[in-house]
Amino acid sequence: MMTTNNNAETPASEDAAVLAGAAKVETGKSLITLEGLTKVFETEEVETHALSNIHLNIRQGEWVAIVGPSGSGKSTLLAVLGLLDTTTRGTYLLDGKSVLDLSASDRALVRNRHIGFIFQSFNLIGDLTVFENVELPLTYRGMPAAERKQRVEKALDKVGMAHRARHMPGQLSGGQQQRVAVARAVAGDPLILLADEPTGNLDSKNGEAVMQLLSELHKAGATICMVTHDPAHARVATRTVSLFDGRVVQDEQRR
Amino acid sequence: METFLQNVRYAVRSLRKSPGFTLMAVLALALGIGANSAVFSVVNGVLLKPPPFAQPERLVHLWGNYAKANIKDIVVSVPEYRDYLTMPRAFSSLAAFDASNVTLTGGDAPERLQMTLSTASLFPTLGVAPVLGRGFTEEEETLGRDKVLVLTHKTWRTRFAQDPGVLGRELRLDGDTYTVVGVLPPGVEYPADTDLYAPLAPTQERASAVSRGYRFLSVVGRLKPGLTLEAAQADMDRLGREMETLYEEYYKGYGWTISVKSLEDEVVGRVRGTLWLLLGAVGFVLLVACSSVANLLLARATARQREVSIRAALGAGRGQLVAQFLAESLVLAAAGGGLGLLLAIWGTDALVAMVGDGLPRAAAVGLDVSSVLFTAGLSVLTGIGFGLVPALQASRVDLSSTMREGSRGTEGGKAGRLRAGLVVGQVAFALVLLVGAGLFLRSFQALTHVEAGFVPEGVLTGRLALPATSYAKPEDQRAFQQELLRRVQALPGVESAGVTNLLPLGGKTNISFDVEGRTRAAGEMWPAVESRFASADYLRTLKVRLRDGRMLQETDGPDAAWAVVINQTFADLYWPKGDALGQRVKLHQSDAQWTTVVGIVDDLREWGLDTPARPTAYYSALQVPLTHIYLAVRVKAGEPESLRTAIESEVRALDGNLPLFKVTSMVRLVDESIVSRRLTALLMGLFAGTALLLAALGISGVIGYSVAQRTREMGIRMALGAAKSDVLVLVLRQGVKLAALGVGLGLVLSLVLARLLSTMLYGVTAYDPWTFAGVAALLSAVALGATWLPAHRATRVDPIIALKAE
Ligand SMILES: Nc1ncnc2c1ncn2[C@@H]1O[C@H](COP(=O)(O)OP(=O)(O)O)[C@@H](O)[C@H]1O
Ligand SMILES: [Mg+2]
Repeated sequence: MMTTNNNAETPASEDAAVLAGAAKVETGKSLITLEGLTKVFETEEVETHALSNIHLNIRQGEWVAIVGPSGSGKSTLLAVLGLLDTTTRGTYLLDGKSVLDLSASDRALVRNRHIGFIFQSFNLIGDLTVFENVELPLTYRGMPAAERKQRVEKALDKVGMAHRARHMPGQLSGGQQQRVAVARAVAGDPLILLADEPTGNLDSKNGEAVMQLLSELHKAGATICMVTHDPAHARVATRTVSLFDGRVVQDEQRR
Repeated sequence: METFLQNVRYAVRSLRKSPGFTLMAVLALALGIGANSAVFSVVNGVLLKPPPFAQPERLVHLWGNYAKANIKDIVVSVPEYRDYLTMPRAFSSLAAFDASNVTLTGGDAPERLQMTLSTASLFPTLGVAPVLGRGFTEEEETLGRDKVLVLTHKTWRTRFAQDPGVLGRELRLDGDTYTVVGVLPPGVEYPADTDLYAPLAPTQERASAVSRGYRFLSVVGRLKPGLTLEAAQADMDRLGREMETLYEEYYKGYGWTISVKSLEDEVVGRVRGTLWLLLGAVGFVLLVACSSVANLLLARATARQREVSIRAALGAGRGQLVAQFLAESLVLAAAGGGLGLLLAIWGTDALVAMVGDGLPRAAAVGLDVSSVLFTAGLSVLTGIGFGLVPALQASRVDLSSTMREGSRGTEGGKAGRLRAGLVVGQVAFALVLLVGAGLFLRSFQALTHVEAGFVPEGVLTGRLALPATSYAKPEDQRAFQQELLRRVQALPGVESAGVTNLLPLGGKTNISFDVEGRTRAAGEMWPAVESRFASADYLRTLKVRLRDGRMLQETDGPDAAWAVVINQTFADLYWPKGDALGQRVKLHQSDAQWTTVVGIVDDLREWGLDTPARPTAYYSALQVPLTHIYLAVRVKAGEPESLRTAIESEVRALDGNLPLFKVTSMVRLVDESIVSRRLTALLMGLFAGTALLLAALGISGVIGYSVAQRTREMGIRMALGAAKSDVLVLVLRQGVKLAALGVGLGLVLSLVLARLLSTMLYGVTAYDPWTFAGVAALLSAVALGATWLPAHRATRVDPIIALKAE
């Protein structure tokens, strides 16, 4: 199935879900709605349309893989979704609320409560232990220590890194670091996990392991939006959104 | 040598490429080195340079003491000096002198000069020989033959253009004609500020036994070769006891002793502690400056890791790398030293100008060869001091890691800790200096709030000296005094006016006296008190409060019964039952009469603001007329200086040959009396301020650097939802940690060092909790402020950085 129609993207994906019968994947209510989203970078006389008129709807429980050639706008889209960046035009509803006009501190709050980040380069803080890294977003949330401890332990357990809680990130392999990063992303029970090439810095064996981990999280109900280069990894997702030159050129729903 | 020059050339080139860094470093060093050189020049001139006397360590000053009355360091009478001459075996020679003022006439206007009347033995005792002519002979120590002069080199230079024909020249001084017989070598001005010397020729009365209690002479002695101060002291102790038995009525029971003190101590002892303290303090400033520069160098070394590894890859050994880096710090130090020398030239003059009369041997202070050598040595030492550690640090290369593509210069944990350590040290040193400055400031404040016993505001003072030639008889002196006061009091704008022999804060005149009805039983003490001779309105003019009885009056004249007003301390000491009024005392002076205590006044600080009041008596200047007059005039309103010309013209109208000199306000005199304390407080404040600034820059630099290094981390934290305040607190905490460590260390250091200050403080203990707490709070606030800027920068990091590849 091939769709190059941006405008029809939302109904199309809904149809696809219905048509596919969606036996196993339960697509719930709409979590993210982008309408006419445009991002223009203006640098020294050059205007780069990193994102052009994007319409995208992500429902609860979906696992979206964003693919496309380098420079097509994948990271920019993820940054906008993660409220790390602002947009030039368009609307963005997260869980039904518009989040584009929030102040910086409110955006930080939303990131902290509703979004879990997994980065290509892991981005663990070298001076903090594994435990403290996972705890960090919960600390920013002002959660009491006892509850934090419980959540961190649960999250580390989920990714199989509980036994390394006292280690420093430097003492772990890349794969292990990324698992800790995943734990950090899920510890706060976010609405959605955003992952930017989560396997990009890993060898294939460790990459597979991280994909396996994401699969488990997805099965357990997590909504995931993941940028990837690897077609094999994209196929694991339930839906593939292809970008080209800042536009959605294909939106493929499976199962 | 060649490689060294090569290194220096590279260093200059490399420094020129980072002008910002170079400017900061050179300025910090110039400040540190310049301040040190300036203070060193003063210390060198005052304390280190040998005085222009032969074997100065053998010179001593002899003081009398009534230990039991707690009256110390009193001058001696002619009979006492003669005792000293005949009895001790400790001295190869002794000399006595009396510093006084004379009026020089014959020029455009009458002028005051400082004339020291000395025994012929003064110059041999000091070990100085005239460069021109001769000194005095013993025969010239007699009235009538005493009109000969020896000039100081300065007087010869400034007044006679070093004319060798000055010998035989005649000068009119106080109406007498003196002949110049000699000129002293340069630098010999003892006692301080002497312009010329004449022989000491005491009157018949002063030389007679009745004047044993009339003390006005200072005595210097030269110890016999090899004799210690202690041995001389033992000798004088023996003499003190002999005098006690010979002249019971003067000494017995008062704990009479004669103390032998090193002349060097006498001249510079007052400022020695302060000067060393300032040198120490300014040393701390240099330490702080050096750590600042070391810190800058460390940061620079981190940024240059790539350059270093390339050099190393090309085969430079560690020693060569260190040499290269050291060359840079030496170039910096040389530039800082050069600029510092200029600062020091200016600073030394400024220092001397600020202390003025407060600094002994000020004339010997200047930027000379030793100061320049000191500066040069200091520059080299600091260059190595602040350069070595960064050089060693920078030369440690890890080729495999730094050469990898794309690797940025990241600061190793060790360099980071080193920089943090340096900042902690800076904060600690700054705190020590701040504590010192705070304590001196509080002392100074305490002094300015001292209950002086009089109101200096609105009072103009001036001096007059009646020459014995034209005012020989007491009647003449009295008449002058009365007419002067009549004229001045009649001036519009004058509220009141008075005369005295010594103004408050001005010093000591101890004169012994008898108390009617008391015999001098052993153990009792009423040997001598501060004695002032004042006109009726003098105490009123100073607004001294009367406590009991009455003030002196116009009617306390020569024909009336003699009257005296005493201060409360006097009354309490001699008549503790409170029955002082109506008691009678009698001065040890040939023409003195029994004098009735008619009034009791508040204590005045006659010796200085920092010296508690002593027993003081105010006799009527009409009954004991003055030849050396201090005039005090209170204005009705406005500035006292406004009266100056009017008063001067009244004096001129009265006697055209009589200059009114040292005209100044009482407020000014009060200020001058504490000028060295003001200066100490000011300099300590300046040093502490500089250190504070450098420490603040240090904190800001280290935190700023660390923020720059942690930009990505900040971005990640913000991506994870850290609010701006979270990031702010994170960075501030880092600054607070450094500051807290520094403040803690500084407090410990201060507690150890404060003890050294205790003798120099007034009205505040060396461990004053307010000062310590205030200073710690100030420093913490400044540290927080210094952290604020980089912390604020950290909050502006774009969290999107987390998405970018490392
Ligand atoms: N901060 C920026 N300033 C200017 N142009 C940018 C910026 N970030 C991204 N771009 C441009 O936007 C386009 C999309 O970039 P990006 O989203 O990083 O692509 P991708 O992640 O798909 O490789 C590219 O052309 C890129 O050069
Ligand atoms: Mg990208």
